[in-house]
Amino acid sequence: MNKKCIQWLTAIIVVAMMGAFVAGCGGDKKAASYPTKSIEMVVPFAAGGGSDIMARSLVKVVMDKKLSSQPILISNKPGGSGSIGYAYTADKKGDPYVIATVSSSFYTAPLLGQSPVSYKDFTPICGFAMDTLLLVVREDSKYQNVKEIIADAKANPKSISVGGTSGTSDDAVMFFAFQERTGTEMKYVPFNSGGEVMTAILGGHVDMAWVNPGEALGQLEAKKARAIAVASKERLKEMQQVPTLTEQGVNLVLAQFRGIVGPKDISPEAVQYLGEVFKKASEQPDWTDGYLKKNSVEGRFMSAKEFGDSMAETTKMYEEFLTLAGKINKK
Amino acid sequence: MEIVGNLLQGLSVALTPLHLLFCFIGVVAGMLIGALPGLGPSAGLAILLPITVSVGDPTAGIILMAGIYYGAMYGGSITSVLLGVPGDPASVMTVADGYPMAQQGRGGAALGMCAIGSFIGGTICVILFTILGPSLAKIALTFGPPEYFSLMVLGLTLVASFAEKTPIKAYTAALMGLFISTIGLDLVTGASRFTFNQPKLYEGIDFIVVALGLYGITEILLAMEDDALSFKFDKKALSWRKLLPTMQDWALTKWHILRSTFLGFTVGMLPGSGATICTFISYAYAKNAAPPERRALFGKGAIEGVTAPETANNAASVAAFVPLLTLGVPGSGSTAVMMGALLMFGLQPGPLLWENNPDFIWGLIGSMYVGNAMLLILSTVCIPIFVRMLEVPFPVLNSVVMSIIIVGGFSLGNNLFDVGMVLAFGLIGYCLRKMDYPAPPLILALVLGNTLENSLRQSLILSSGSMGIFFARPVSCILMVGALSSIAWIVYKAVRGARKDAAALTES
Amino acid sequence: MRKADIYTSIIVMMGCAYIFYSALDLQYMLEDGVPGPGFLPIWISSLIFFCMLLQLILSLRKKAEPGGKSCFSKESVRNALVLIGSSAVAMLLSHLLGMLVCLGLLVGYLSWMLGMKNWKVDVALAICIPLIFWAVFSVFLEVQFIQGIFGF
Repeated sequence: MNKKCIQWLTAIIVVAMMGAFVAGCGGDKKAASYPTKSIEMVVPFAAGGGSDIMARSLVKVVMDKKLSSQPILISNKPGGSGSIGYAYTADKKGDPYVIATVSSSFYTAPLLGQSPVSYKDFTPICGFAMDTLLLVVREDSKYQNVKEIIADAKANPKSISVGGTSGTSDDAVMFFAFQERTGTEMKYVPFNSGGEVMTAILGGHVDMAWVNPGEALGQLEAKKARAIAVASKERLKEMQQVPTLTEQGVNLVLAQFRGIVGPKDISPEAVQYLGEVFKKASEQPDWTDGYLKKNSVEGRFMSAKEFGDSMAETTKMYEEFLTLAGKINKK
Repeated sequence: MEIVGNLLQGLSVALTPLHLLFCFIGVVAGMLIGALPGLGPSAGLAILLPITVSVGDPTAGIILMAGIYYGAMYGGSITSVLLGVPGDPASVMTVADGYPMAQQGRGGAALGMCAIGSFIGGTICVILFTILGPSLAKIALTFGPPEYFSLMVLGLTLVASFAEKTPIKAYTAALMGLFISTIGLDLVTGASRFTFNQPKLYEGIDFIVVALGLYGITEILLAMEDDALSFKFDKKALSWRKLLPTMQDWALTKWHILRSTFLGFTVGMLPGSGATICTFISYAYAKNAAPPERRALFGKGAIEGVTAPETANNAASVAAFVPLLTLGVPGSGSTAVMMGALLMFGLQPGPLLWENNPDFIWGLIGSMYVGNAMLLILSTVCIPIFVRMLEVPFPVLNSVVMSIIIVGGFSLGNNLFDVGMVLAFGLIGYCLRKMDYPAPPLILALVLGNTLENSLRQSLILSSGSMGIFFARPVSCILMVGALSSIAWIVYKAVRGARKDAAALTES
Repeated sequence: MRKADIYTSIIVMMGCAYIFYSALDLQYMLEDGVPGPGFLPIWISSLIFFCMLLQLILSLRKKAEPGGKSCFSKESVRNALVLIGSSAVAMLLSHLLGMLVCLGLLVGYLSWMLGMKNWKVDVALAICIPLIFWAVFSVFLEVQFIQGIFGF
């Protein structure tokens, strides 16, 4: 029986291999143009996070409007503050069927020595949205503007507490850079997620926090919290009443672009094709009204070249801020 | 009376045939996702999000999502009880007593009690939510870092209830769990701890990886070795009525159900802590509260040990909607996805939702009632089918379970590294079990560890290093005093026990 | 049990010494009395060390059980090796053969090793289980399995 079993197994494996070989040959024929098979879009974070939902919303628009001739499939590769997914993508050199979404740890993790790959290991494809940070306090807070905060922080050093997500996120970078530029000393309290930070503000456990506009929108509208400043260059379209930091005398700008990158050495045709697909998608009302507006993200489409330049600039900015925060020299 | 009117209107929204259908589809899909290890409710919701959004109508969409969510919460217990493989983090504790019950041929009763407990817990919480509504938000907001720390310390003292037989080993297991929770990047400084420069360890070791190894694989190995452990079946006993819980089961568990409902609701409401923690707390609490002759049965197939955590996790899953709908803050991974869905439907979760979209809110609350009832009916009808899975010959069943564990581990992060970790923990768990190290303390400490450490450090940052902060705030003070006195009680009992032993030794 | 306890406590104590040593590289305290990343690991490793020391002393004082049955029989070691080893091998091969193929082979092999000597059942399992996984995970839940040389 045993011998017979092995014979059978061998037979099945041989048949399976032959089948696969035939199928493989079919696929290998030089196809006329990109894409000839489905595209894998790597989200280097767990399913359900902010980056994941943004990617899924964008891909849904692409699929609904049939903008791409081949399906785009999301694959979550969480871990290592994004470095797992980015390393996986960078590793696929020359393969235009694996692309990844860019978020802040794409820039910060390599600088902090937490990721083996940096923006230089990728081909930029396009940028589609701009993200920044808001300084938020509880509605009944005594602070009305940044000047009052600075004055109070100088009068009572180490008494104001500021919340943020983890000790090395863009919130933390912003906090330390702010402290450095204004010559103040405050307490930074790291939490696990934006949701926890928001609860800590509402509960009065911390005095203020740097948060993404989308996370604070509900509280701002319900008048449970107030935005004191925004870290972008110009005021946000959706929140015209919130002044920028620069307007309030603190020369700090933090803005980063969400976008899509592919591994190095992919063909220009593929970059152009994908760029066009996402350009069309980013013009759809389903995206602009359905996602961007509701999450108060500023849409801004960037071509591959512009996005490439902005990646270099953003890395430089983070490098400067992280050095200010003393996070790089310590390493 | 306004509430009653609103509620009736909400129920009428939820009871339209279309919405009922969506609720049904959601519950079934959720049960499937929950039953598969690895993909928990939050990942399942995220993956099905595009389908949900394409439904178009927000009420129908969120009813579908809520259905998936409840279904997944219950689905986790199916594999926990029948196969000893926890389907999601919130049902890990169910394995401890559910699986032994299944081995004794009482899997149907365990599942039935899970369904009844979940139904009662869920319904009471929905009623509390209906009546109290937005005012619950205030309670959730009183919990800052010091309160969390005190709560975690109180939770850790529960390890003592697993430490009767082999105290040293139980405490060692708990400490090991705490150690595993420190692996990864440090939240405060970003320093990497015990990661051996493996980026895959930066975010720590996923709780479900440890649970799959410590329970799933270990159970298979134990069963391979000892034929007595494999399932006993009396074919005649498989009739539908005999599979359901008996009146005696009900009498044993009714107070546990009430207690766990309360526990699950309060703990589940706190953002960030969620359903998993409260299952452990309510299990340990049920064990402590049980009369001595029942207490000895815990871990060997006590019906209370199944009902308490299952009731608590369902209560917590309803309570998780409190911060989402009243504050606009997602309290858990799954509610974060639902918040994303609400935003896509053009609804801004938060205090204004109650004023701006009452139809939606009351429709959702209505669907919570309907969803809970549907879950109860569906699960009672399906129990015989589930239980029949166990009639499959032992080698076939276990090899299939092994492959499910592997695929589950893989689907956590789509990489083989996690699978390797599951296998390693399987081996470790097997050795620990053979040497009488209990698994629950390890898992309990692992669940509490991160919050414990982070909240301690957050509190001390806030207070500039003064421990007084834990006693200066009323809620934290009460919890801390509770924790300290239960530690004192444990020490007192241990010392008294040691003295008795010593006296017995000298006498003999 | 006694022997196993003695060995385990020694091994775990060595592990703790290592953890303690590497935790010394991490900051124990940050400024203002806030515990640093090294705080918890140092305390945990010391406490485990202490517990294991206690366990070691207790086991050494205990007399060897009469007819002391080892808790790790030859059979249990073999079982563990078969189950964990074959799964590990299957996963290592999945980059070559594809994850679904490997899972199929694993299920077939395991069920045969565990005692299902009817090879028809084993082969059926090896073919059906991957198909079910493919339908549930790849199609319904969009999980991407590792593909091998066959392209699936």
